[in-house]
Amino acid sequence: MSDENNDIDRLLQGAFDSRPRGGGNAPSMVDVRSRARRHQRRRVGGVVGATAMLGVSGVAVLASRGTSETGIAGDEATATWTMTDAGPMCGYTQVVPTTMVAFENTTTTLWPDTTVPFEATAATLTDPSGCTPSGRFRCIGNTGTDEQGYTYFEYCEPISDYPPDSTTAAGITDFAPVDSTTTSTELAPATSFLGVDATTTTTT
Amino acid sequence: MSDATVPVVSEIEFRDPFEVVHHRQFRSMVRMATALVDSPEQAEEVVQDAFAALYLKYRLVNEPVGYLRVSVLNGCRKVLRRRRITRSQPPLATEPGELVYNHVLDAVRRLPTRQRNAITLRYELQLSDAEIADTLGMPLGTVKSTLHRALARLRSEVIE
Repeated sequence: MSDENNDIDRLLQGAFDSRPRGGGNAPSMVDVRSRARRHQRRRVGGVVGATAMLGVSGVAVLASRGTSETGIAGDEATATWTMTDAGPMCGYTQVVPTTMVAFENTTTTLWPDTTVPFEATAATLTDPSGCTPSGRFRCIGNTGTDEQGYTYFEYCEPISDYPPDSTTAAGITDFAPVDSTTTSTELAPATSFLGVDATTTTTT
Repeated sequence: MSDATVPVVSEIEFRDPFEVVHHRQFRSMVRMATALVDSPEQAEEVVQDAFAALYLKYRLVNEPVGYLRVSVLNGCRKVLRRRRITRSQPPLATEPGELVYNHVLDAVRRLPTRQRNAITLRYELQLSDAEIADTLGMPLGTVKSTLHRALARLRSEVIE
């Protein structure tokens, strides 16, 4: 049995070794890099496309809320922003107005109380070199982690003079602010309910 | 000019560690992929794609060579799946220089995919059972039994 094992082992090793070494083609790093860029463009394109879909549906939801009971006017909405300090990140394309930003090793601080007007027209974050600049950003929208472990947001914009660490106010801002001029009116007690005269009482 | 004065192309010339991995692993990966998909052109495509994927994640990957092996295997699986879907027959080995019919390699090609992968990793890359288990994402015992069954089948086809 062991002889048979050795035989097949030797045969297989010989067969694999007999295959040509194929030393003719030199591996091309240029090709690897261009493929990598192509892969990334495809991947980011997919994410941006999905984000754009989300953005469109989000705008539609906001618009419907604005015309109904919430009273959000125009492009101003109250929302929760995430403050994040990010280093420069290259290779990610930014699309206006729907912007996807990926950061590596972000330290995020949630500010649950901030009421910031949502600016629908985002400025592009990409500088001429194609890299996202480093600094402090405020981000909003759906977040996620891509397969490289980077955190991304639906929309981010750079900030420079945002008030730091004022986390005193509580809660997420209500979308329907109470109008201080509104007064409640007390209604008269109902006299009938479902056709039954409420003034008729049955005692046992 | 003596040998000592001839400049040796060494890995020191590759400043980027990724280039070192590429330089070291490219050919062996192409050989492994060729053994699986039978076409050197497709094998090279698969390997370059795997290197491109590794290039994007190089800083995040703990074991680049292991990642590469798995990427190449997955790429080969994709090629074979596509080939099955299009119902085109796998081309017979067309590697330059492999003009002589090799009945052992032909028997390996007829093995089920899992057995063929295990045999290729063992005899092409000289991987241990544990390394094969890591690469194929299988328990060690499954690798051993897979190899055992593959060898038994090859023995019956080639020797007997």
